[in-house]
Amino acid sequence: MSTNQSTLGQLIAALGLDTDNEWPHVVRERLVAYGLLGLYVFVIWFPIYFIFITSIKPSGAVLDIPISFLPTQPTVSNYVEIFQNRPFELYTLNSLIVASTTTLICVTLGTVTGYSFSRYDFVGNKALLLSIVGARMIPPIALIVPFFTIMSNPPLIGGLTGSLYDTRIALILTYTFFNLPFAVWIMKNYFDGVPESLDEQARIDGCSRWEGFVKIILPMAKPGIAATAILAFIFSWNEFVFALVLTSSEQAQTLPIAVSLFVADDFVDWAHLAAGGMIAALPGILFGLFFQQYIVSGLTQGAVKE
Amino acid sequence: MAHVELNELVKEFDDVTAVDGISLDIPDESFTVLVGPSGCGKTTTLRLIAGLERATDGEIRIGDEVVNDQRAYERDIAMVFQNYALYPHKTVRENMRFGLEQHDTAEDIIQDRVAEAAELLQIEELLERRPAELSGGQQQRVALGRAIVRDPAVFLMDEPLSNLDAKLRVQMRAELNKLHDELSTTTVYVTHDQVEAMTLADQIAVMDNGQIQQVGAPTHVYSNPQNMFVAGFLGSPSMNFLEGTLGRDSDGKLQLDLGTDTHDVPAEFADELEGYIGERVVLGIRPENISLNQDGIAANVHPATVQVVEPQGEKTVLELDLDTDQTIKAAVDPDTTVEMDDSVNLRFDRDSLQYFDPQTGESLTYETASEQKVTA
Repeated sequence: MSTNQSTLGQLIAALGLDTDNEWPHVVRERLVAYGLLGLYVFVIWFPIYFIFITSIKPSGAVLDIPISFLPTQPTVSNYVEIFQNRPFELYTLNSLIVASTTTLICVTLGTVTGYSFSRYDFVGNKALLLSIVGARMIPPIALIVPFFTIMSNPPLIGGLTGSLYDTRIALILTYTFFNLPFAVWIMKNYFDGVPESLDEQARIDGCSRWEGFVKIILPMAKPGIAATAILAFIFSWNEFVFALVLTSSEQAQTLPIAVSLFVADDFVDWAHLAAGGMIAALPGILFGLFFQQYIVSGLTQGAVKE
Repeated sequence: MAHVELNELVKEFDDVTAVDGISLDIPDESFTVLVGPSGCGKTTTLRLIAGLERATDGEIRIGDEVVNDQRAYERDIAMVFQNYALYPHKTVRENMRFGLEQHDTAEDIIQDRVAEAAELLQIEELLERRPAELSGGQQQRVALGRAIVRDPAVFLMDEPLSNLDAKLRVQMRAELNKLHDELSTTTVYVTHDQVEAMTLADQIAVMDNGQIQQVGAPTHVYSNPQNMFVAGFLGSPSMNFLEGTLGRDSDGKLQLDLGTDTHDVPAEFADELEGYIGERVVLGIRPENISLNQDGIAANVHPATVQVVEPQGEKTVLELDLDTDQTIKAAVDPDTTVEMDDSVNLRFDRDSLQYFDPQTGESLTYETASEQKVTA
């Protein structure tokens, strides 16, 4: 009993809970909260940890029973082999180009469109906004056939001919279609939170509408832009189904497809799949970490006094 | 410096008429306050002058120019917003510089002007901080500073003090007064706070329903309201209105029949009120012009019962029921010792009476009353 008490005491101290100054029920509630959060973090990270462990096991040791959860004979051979045996650098390049171009388009158009929806009161703006966002509510799978048809036989616009099938452009257009509505929605809501008196002050200070937007409003919108960028990038980076249907060779295939290629009809190359999975996961995580620093509250703090 | 002139100015939003044909002359170097309840059109009027809204009809002149079709930045105005609208990502210095930079002002002039304004407003220490690091009062100063550096023809201020706490508001009010004395820039100031209006203005325009009800020097408007709206809006507690029927007493003098009580109309109003005999007339009397009759003279007193006693320090406000069942407020000397349910006799200061037409709300005695005050 006394050991239990002291273990609990150590745990409480380690979590920084101040039993002298807090009510006992507050300490108990915090312990429960920590427990639940810990469980949540475990559920999120365990699969990633397991893939990592698998990716550094020798190929033959992957399916050993009992399963080892700790690296016993760590090796980087899986990583080396996937780049040697497959054009993984091409897949990575494709993913980078597709995801960053999509992100750039979505952020640019989403910001401008969101600002317009937030500031301009034009006929049918609510209906138009709903229809833009509503289009995104259709399950993507329902649009696979139309997208495949369009990309294979694009309508002739200004002399543009030929099929977009198995090109990065096809993926960029498709991912923009899916992400732009969210980008518009997020940015519109973000701009709604920026007081209009700042636009007006900019106009009085001598800015045109566009100058005021670029010089005053946009710098304040960094958190919204970061959120939009993260969503668009991670969606495009991870997307699998459309990439599978719209591409067929390494000139356009992205990392998720590359990883899936380790699954053959009667054999799964788990070790290489895990290494490929880690490669595929890493840039997304880095991108997210980089941009989340901009998602800080209070960037507009001090602008106006409520 | 410039005078501002509004001619028959109209602004409609969809089916709402926010500004309904107002005409106003704002003299050069004046401090003109637009005051009125919320929704009266005062802020819209200011925004029309600023060029943030386009007039539906009418004319706005700044100096000798009609500016209706000019953009905000072409109008040589600076505006202070109610919420200050400081750029949060810029420092105080950058906030103040921005307008000048946009107007391609030379660097040495920018530096001089910012330094001058910062000194004037005592915000030199704050120049490298961002708005979020400033207190409300400091933000307010920066907003003023940003307007001052522009050295505009007209300052437009939209309730600039309403977000400050009471003590700071009084302090900033005094500073605004001082600032206007030093700069003498034509200022148009919007507020719903009548104390602010009275203390700051050298010309006050009382607005209601998109229209100007009365324009004039603050004390003149306060003492000589042209209608019941102005009379009731200015002053706290507001003017008392007692309605009765105008008739004559046994001596043939004008008398207002208030029901169970009567009120003798001073002789100087006889000419103006003659035509209203037999009709309903409203008597207006400010609380501070009512006193308790303690010397026992019976003429011109109104018996009442004390309902509420509110000591406010410099005065005590009484809420009383007249015998006629009308409720009236009186602001009396704080040393007055009365309690709830006390019976008292009220005496109305006969130099401070107003009479109104209950139908139109217009003052019936405006001319006599204002002349009287001029001669007095």
